Amino acid sequence: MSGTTLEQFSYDNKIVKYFGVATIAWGLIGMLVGVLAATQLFLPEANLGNPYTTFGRIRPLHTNAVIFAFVGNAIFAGIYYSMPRLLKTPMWSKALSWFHFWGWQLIIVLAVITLPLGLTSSKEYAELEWPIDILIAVVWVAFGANMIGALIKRREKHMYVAIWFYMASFVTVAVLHIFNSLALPVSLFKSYSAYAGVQDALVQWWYGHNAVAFFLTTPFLGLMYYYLPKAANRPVYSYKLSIVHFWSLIFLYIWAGPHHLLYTALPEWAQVLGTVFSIMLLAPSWGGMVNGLLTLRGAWDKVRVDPVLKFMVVAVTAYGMSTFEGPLLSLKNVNAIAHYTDWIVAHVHIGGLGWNGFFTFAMLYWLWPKMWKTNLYSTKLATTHFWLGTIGIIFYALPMYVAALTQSLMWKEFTEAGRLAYPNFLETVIQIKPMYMLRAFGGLLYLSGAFLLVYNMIKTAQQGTFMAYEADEAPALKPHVPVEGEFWHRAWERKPVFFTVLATIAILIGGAIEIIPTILVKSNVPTISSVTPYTPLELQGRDLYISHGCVGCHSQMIRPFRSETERYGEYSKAGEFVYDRPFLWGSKRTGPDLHREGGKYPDSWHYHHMVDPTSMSPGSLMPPYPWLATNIMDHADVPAKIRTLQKLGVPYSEGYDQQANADLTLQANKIAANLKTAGVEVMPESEMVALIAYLQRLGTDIKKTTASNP
Amino acid sequence: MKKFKSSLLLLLGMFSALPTFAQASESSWFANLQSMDSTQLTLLVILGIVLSVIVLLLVLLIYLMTFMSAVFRKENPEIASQPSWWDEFKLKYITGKMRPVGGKEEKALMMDHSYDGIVELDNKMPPWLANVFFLTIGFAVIYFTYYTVLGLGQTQLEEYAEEHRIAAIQIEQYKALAVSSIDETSVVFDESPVAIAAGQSIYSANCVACHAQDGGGGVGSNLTDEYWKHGGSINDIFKVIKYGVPEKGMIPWQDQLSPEQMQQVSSFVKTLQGTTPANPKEAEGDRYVPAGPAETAKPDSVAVPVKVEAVAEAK
Repeated sequence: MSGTTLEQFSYDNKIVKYFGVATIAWGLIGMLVGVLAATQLFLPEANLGNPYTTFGRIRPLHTNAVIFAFVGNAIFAGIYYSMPRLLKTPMWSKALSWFHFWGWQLIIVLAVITLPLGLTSSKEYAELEWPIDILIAVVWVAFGANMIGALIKRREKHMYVAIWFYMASFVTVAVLHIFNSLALPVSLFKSYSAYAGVQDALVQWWYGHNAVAFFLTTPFLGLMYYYLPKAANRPVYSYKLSIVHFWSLIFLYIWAGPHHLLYTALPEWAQVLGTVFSIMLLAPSWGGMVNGLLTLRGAWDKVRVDPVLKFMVVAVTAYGMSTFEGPLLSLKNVNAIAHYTDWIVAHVHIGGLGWNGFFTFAMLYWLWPKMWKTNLYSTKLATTHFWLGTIGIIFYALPMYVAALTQSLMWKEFTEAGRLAYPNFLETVIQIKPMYMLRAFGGLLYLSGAFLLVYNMIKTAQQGTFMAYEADEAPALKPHVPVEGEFWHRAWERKPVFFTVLATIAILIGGAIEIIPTILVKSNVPTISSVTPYTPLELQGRDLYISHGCVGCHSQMIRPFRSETERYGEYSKAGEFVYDRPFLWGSKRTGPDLHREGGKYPDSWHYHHMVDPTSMSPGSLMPPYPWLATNIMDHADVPAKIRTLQKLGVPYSEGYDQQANADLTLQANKIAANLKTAGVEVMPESEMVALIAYLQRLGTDIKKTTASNP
Repeated sequence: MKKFKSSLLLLLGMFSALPTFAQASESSWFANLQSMDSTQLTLLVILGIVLSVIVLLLVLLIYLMTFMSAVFRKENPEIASQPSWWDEFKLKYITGKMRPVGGKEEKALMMDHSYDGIVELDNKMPPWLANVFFLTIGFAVIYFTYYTVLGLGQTQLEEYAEEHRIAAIQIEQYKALAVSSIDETSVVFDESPVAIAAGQSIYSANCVACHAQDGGGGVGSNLTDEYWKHGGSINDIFKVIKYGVPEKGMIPWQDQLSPEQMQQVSSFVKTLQGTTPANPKEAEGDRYVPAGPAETAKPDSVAVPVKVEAVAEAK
C-alpha cells in the first residue's frame, strides 16, 4: 500500500536573487546618502549650494531609501524565499512576482527623482506625492495577492508563525498607507492633506509609528522565525510564546502612535493612551527577542565561528535594546528631555542599523551560498564586516546620546536671574558639533562594512552556480479531518482567511478609538476666533517651506515648558493649526522652533539670513538658500490651490480664487518695498518674498486678540 | 569644551535630583538641629539608641535562624537535598524550567510538525517575561485611571503653571539683590575695563549681526556717529536694548540679558562713539549732544551720509 503520492513543484530563486541584489544596491545608495546628510550637519558646504542636495531634501531621500528600498527589498527577498518553502508551493503567480519587483523599483526610482525636486507631502516616511502613493498601493496589493494565492494553494496544512507576521504586516501597512495618504490633489505633483493640524498630526504618527512597527518590525520578526532556526539548526524555543507575543504585539502596537506627540496640542487623553500602550509593548516586543535568543540555546558555540549567527545575535539584541528604549521614551518626563533631540535619532538607528541592517546582512550571507550551491567566499571578510558594523553602530549611537543630553539640558538651563542660560539657540548647536562629526564617522564605518558584503557576495556567486529553480515535492493538502482536543490556536492556523481577518480586527481597534473621536468630537480641537486662513502669498511661502523640507530641522510646536515659552513665545494651541494642511510640527530641532517666528525679526533679517545664515548668526549650520532671492515663483496655480482648499473646508469666500492673485501681488509688493527701505532689492515675484510672508505670519494669529484686549 | 564639561556635570546632577532643592532641605535640617534645646536632643539620642538596638536584635535573630536551619538540615539529610525556597521561587516566577539542550526532556517537548525542517518546542513562556507583561498592564491601568478616568494627575498646563510659580519665587529672591535692580533710570556709564570687556563680548555674541563688529551698522543703525534715533544717553541706549524697538527691527533683550549685562553692553556701545568703522551706515535720527562737559562732541565729526546702494554693495 503506497501511502500518499508526492506532487512535484519548484521554488523560484531568481526573484529572490533580484530582490537580494536590489537590497544591496539600494542599501549602499541609502547609506551613502545618510553619510552625506550626517556630513551636512556639521559642514554646511556639503549641501553643495543647490536646492536639490540641501539637507531638507536629502534627509527624506535617506529615510525613504533605507526604509523602503533597502529594508523593503530585503523583506521581499526574505519572504519570496521562505514563504514558498514554509507552504510547500511556489508563490502564486510568477507574473505577479515580477510586477511586484519592477513596480517596487519604479516607485523607488520615482522617489529618487521627486524628493530632490522638492515634490513632497512632507509627512514623515510618507513624503511621496499622490500619484506615487497610488502606485505603492497597487504594487502592495499585488504583493498581498501573491501571498494569499500561495496560501490558498499551499500543501502545508498549518501556517507557521513567520507567515502570521507576514500577513499581519501586509494588511496593516495597506491600511496605514491608504488612510495616511488621503489627500486632495491640486495638480499631478501637489496635493493637500485630507486632515488638518492636530488631526493630521495624529493620523501621521499613527502611520509613522506603525510604519516602524509593521514595516521594520513585524516582517523582520517573521524573517527571524525562519532564518534564525535555519541558521542555528535548532528548534524554536516556545510555540506558546510565539502566539502570545504575536497577538499582543499587533494589537498593542497600533495604539502607541501618540507618544510622538507628548506635551503637544494633541488632546491629553490621546497622549495618555500613547504612553500606556507603549509601556505595555515592552513584554510583547521582548517576546520576539527572548524566543530568538533562547532558540540559540545549544548553538552558542556556533556563534563564535559563524558570521551569520553573529549578525543575528546582535540584530536581535539591538531589537531588544530599542524596544526597551521605546517605552522609556514614552514616559512623559523622559520624553520632555529627549523629544526634538538626537536621542530619537540614536534610538531609530539602533533599530535601523542594528536590527534591520544586521538581520538583512545575516540573511544575505545565509541565502547566497544556498542559492549558488556553494560556501561563503570568505568567512573572514564577513566577520570583518560584522566588527566594522558593530563599531560603526557604537560610534553612531553614543555621540548622539551625549549630544542629545547636552543640548537638551542647555535648552532647559536657567540662570539665577530667571533667564535662559543659553538664550541663543545656536550656542547649543555649536556645542554638539564634535558629536555630529563622530556620528558621521560611525556611519562611514558601517557603510564601509557594507562594501565588504558586496565583494563577498560577488565572489560567492562567481564560485558557485546559480540554481534558478529548486525542485521539491510534497503530498497534496488533504481535506481536514476533525481532531479531538485540537488546540484552539492550532485550528486558527489552518484557516488563513479567518486568521487574517482576526489580525485585521486586532489592528483596527486602536487606531479607530484614537483617531475617530479626535476628528469627530469638536472639543478635542478648541477653535480660536482670531485664527484665519493663510493669504495666497503666505500659502505659496508655506508650500515653498514644505518643498525645501524646512520641517526636517525646524519644529512648529512649542510645548508648555517654561524653557520653551521663554525662548520661543507662548506655547502652541490646537486651534492655531486648523488651516495647516499638512501639519508641520516636525520631530527634530536641529534649528530653533519657528512657530512664533512671525514678527520676531525684520524682513531684511530673514533676507540676509536666507542668503547667508552665517551673516546673521555667525557659526550657523543652516545651509544657505541664495537662490530664493533670484528664483521667480510661478503663482499660476494659486487659484487651483484655493479651490482645492475650499473643497477641504477652508473658509475662503466664494470666488476668492479669482481675487487671490491680485491680493498676492499686493502683499508681495508691500514686502518688497519694505525690504527696499532696508537696502535690499528683491523682485516681488521672487521665492524669497513668499517665504518671508509665511515666516512673518507664523504664530501671529493669537497675538491679534491680545493686542485688542491689552 | 568648558561648557561641554559643565553640561556633563549637569547631567550627573540630574541623576542626583534637583540640586537647588537638595541644598534647601540640607540647610534647613542643619538649622533645625542647631535650634534644638538639650532635652529635645537627649530624646533624639535615646530614640537613636533604641532604633539601633532593634536593628542589632534583628540581625541576631536572622543569624540564629540560619544557624538553626543548618543544624536541622544536618540532622535530617533527606530535607537537605530539597530545593530551597529561593530555588523554587526562581523556578516558578523567574526562569521557569529550562530543559537541557538535546536531552530526552527537550525531545518530548517537540511538537509533531515541522515547517521546511523547522521544529517548535512546546516550552512555556518564560515566567519573568509574563510577569513583566502583567506589571506593565497593571501600570497602564493605574496610569490611565489616575490621569484620565479620575483626572488626579496634573495636566500639562497645570504642570506649566506650577513651573512658573516656582520660577516666580526664585526670581523674587534674585530681585532682592542689588545688581538686578539696574534699570533705565539708574543705569550708569561704567567705564571700568572689566565692564567694557564684558560688554564687548556680549556685543560680539548678540549685536554684530545687525550693527557690525565695529559698530558701523547694517541691518541695524550705525552706533559710531552722533546721530541717534531713540536718544544717545546711556539711559536711552539701555532702554532701547532692554525693550527693543520691534517696529524697526530691534528686538528686546530683557529676557535674554540680565540688567547688569545690559549696563555693560550699553557702556560698551558708548565707547564706540567717534570711532571710524569700515563701512559706516548713513546717519539716522537726531544729533545727540551730551549734557556733561566731559562728553563734548567734536564739531567736525559729523558723519557723512553714505548712499543705500553703497552699503548694499559693500556687503
